[in-house]
Amino acid sequence: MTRRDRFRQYMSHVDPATNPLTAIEKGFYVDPPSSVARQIVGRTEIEPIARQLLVGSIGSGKTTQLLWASRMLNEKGDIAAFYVDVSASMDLTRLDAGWLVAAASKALLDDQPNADVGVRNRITVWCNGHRTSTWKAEPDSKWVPGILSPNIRWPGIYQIHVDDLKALANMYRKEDQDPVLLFDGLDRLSAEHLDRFTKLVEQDVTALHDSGVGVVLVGPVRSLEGFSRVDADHFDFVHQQAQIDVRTAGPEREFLEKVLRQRAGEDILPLSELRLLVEYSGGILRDMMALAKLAGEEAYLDGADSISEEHVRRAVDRFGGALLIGLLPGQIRVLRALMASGDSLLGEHALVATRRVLAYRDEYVVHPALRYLLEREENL
Amino acid sequence: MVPPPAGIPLEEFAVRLLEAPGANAWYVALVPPGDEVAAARALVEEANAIEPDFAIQASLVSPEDFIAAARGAPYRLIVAEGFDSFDASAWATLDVARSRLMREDGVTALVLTPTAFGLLQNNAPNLASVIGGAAFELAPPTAPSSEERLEQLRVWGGMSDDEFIARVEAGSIEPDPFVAEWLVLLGRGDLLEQR
Repeated sequence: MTRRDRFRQYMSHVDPATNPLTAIEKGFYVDPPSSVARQIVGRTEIEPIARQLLVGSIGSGKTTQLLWASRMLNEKGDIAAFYVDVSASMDLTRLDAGWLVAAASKALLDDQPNADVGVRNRITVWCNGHRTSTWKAEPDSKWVPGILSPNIRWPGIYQIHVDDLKALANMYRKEDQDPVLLFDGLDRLSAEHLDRFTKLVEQDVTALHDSGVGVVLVGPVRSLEGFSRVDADHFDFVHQQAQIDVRTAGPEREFLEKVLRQRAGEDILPLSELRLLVEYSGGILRDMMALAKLAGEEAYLDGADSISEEHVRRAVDRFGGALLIGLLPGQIRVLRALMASGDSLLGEHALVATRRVLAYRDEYVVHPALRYLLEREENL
Repeated sequence: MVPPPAGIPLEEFAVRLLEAPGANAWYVALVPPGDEVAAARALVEEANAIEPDFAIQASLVSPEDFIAAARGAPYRLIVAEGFDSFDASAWATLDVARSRLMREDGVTALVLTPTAFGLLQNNAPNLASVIGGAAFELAPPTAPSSEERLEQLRVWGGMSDDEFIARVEAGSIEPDPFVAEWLVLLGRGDLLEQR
């Protein structure tokens, strides 16, 4: 393999934007010490129609855990799990009650070729839309929603759609399987759309539960800063993808080292440089990959055969520089105070949402790559 | 303020884009206000000069334009500009749509001013996480002269022009965008076609 091929392979393995499913298929999955996937599987085995919420910071590996849970559930034989990235196919800014029921119905329907024709037609029309007239040329004909009135428990969803989903779920139960839907992508909802998430939780999650369908839902990142109890109370279990604290050695830090080593051999990424990358990632998986990729680019363009400490430093410099852009002077003062004395965030919770500050179990810390840059400035 | 990392020449940035091997790689080029369109055009020209039909420029007006461009472009590299009209809400819209922006096999480069990149960082944290620090300030367009660039390439390759040409003709040097650039600067682009 040429030098160029070696580096291209390395950089594709550590690309932070790679679809997690691709990484799993390539055999890169490493089970974390307190695996959320295993917790989800365990809970689902005991109570297949449980309502479960997963929250965690950006880039912490939630999608990977959800995909892995889905794969493990399907290996059980008596569970039919379906992974759905809601944000991939739908415009979340137009989120409304009924979306999860519709998405669940479509996933189950696509898997059930023998479903009742009436159920199939209704779900297809509901999910995919339909012409308001069988005659293309007929102008101004309008959709009449039918004689059903909205149910008071889920006013945004017609009862017949929930009944259709229940009928599909029963088809699985007759085959001794419990259907479980794992919904990804709803963590990306911004603050202005959080009320819609609440509507979804109140209506869709309740309707799915009543249909006999298990639900695992990835919730908004803001929930880390105090998830509304009203929303959380609609779930039987809340899993938190905890931030990995890389400041001390232990199984969690070893897990991150294994994740990188699984993708990059010692010949291109020596152990000491690998450990530096883990340290500067702050424990965020996607940031670790991004730093590893940047360091690889630096080494390649430098004409080197492997990544050196200098390449890692340059990658950290660039990564920290990107995090710095957009910060207001007052926010930089808050970061400095946090670095100096572990002071509070002084209300600057946006620093957590944008990864400038990491929320470890018992304290807030400045992202190590940003800290590196701010400390360097102090020493100038 | 902390000095930003040193700017890199547009040519080096283009090489990074050409060499990006991932199925869905993301980069940001930081340029001064008013330079976005010209920088995007120059990047596309540079990339296509090294690898024909590799890149296309996408001039955006709205977040929906970007989603459409990302999903429909038949080129490996999309160089997108026009983000200066994007406010916090537009970036938030793109953030929510992150999954729909992801490409199956392509490189996406955003040409942004530092102000626009700050808005991205603050309002599109999911997208920022995917970009992951791959933001490069482009050095002012005072590119080295051909001779200065040739000298850089000689140092990089550790050989003279004659030795280089001999190795290319013998087929003993691996294909590389730097190799292509070196040949073009020496007026031996014909050897590219023979390879």
